[in-house]
Amino acid sequence: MIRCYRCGNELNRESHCPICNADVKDFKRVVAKSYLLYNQGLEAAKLRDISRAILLLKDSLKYFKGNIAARNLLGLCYYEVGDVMRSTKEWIISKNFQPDNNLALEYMEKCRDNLSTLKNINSMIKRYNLALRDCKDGKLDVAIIQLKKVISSNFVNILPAMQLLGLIYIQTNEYRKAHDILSRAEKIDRYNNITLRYLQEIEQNYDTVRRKKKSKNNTNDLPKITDNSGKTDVVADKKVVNDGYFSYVSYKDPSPIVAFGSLIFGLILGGLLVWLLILPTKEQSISKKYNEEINEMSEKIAGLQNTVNNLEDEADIYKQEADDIKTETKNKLNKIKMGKELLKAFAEMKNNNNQAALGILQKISAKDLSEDEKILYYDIASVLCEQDIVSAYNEGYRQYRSRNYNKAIEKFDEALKWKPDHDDALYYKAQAYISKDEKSSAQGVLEEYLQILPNGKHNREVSRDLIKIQSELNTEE
Amino acid sequence: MIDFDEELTKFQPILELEEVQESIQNDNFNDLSDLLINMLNKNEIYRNDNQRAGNRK
Repeated sequence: MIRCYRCGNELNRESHCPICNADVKDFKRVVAKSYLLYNQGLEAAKLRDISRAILLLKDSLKYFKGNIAARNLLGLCYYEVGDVMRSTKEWIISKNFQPDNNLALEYMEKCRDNLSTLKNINSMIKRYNLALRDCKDGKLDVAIIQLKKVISSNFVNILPAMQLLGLIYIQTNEYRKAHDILSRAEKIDRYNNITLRYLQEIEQNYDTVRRKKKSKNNTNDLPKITDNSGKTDVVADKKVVNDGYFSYVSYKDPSPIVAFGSLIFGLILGGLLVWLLILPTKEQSISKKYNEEINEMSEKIAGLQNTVNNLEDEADIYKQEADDIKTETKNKLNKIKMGKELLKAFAEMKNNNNQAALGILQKISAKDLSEDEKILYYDIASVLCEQDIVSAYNEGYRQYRSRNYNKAIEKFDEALKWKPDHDDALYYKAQAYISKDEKSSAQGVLEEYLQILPNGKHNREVSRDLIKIQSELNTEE
Repeated sequence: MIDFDEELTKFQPILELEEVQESIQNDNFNDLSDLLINMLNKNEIYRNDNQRAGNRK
């Protein structure tokens, strides 16, 4: 159906538009030519001659750009050979020409539904472009890796990638690989000039090698055949097996003795190889495994040792605590015992049994008693030992006057044992030390005096002496 | 014999997703029908002018 270029109405067989009377004779010819080219393009596409179909469809659109069917088919052809973005472009233009009832909408919808696939296709295209650049820079190894990835992707068949990889393989004399990849390309676009030309090139190379081989065979010489990697081998008495381009069956069957000898030699060689290569590796792996296990065990042992050390430390702490508690308990029990003894001594004294009370009192250590008990202890002692205290003090004072200071201090101590707050005994004891020039001891006694008897009768003299001794000691230091 | 370098020049980069919009904008959409319509329109104007000139005479 052709529409008038001026009014847009449907045209009939007449050379003029029935509505606007425009001359549409030549216009109809042009559009008809466009549809003819579209039909030819469609036929070519059906035969998988995609390259020709693309050319015909592009020509069709040069005649009449509004040929929606031709444009949509062109998009499909582009998609088929991996030029996805060009196909999208054609469908977008098609949509703009005919926004409704257009196959292009359906195609685009499918692409949009699977956005991740579109992104993957785009990344493959980028990879191909990179590979092409690498090729031009002479980095064929890198290009091969990139192109292999592009071709192995399941998203789209990028025909130029296959052709480029085929070309590289031809360049590197890897004709079998080149043939494989170009055969795949041929299945996508059957009559593609580039693909066919490369395949022809491979065929020619194959023929050249075969001809060379035949001529060598005729002269019974040992032919030299260049293999895929470019190495040269000497091959004798060959038969070509027609399963590929460079497959050969080599040598005549050897004699049984030689075959048996070769077998034995092979077995020995194999055994040696196992012994030399595999066993050390295995041993190494086993030793490595054991080492790892040993390390693991060592770590575990170290961890356990650490735990044991921690537990031992804890045990020591608990032991120390137990000892402290034991000592404390012992002290408390001792104090209780002393308190009981003190009460016993007091009871004996009450019963006028002073001798027994004194015997008990002498067993009691005043320092183990509490403050209240100490008061009671010294009260009892001062009653029981009053005579002894007085005589000890008197003797001490006499010795002091006689300048026998050591003896005097001894006697004063006897008196102070039962009466620590004996004013004169303490005072003269300090004076004896001063006289002996034992300033530190004198200082200790003077301080003791001020502490026990803050309101003692010698308080003024003691304070004065203490200040004097302290200043003397400071000067000496 | 295939010349590798010469063959390489025949390979062109494939259009990438980011280049589609630019490619559409840069495309020349004029076809043969546009030229023809243009010619037909000019022809018609010329014919009308001639007709008017004849009528005056």
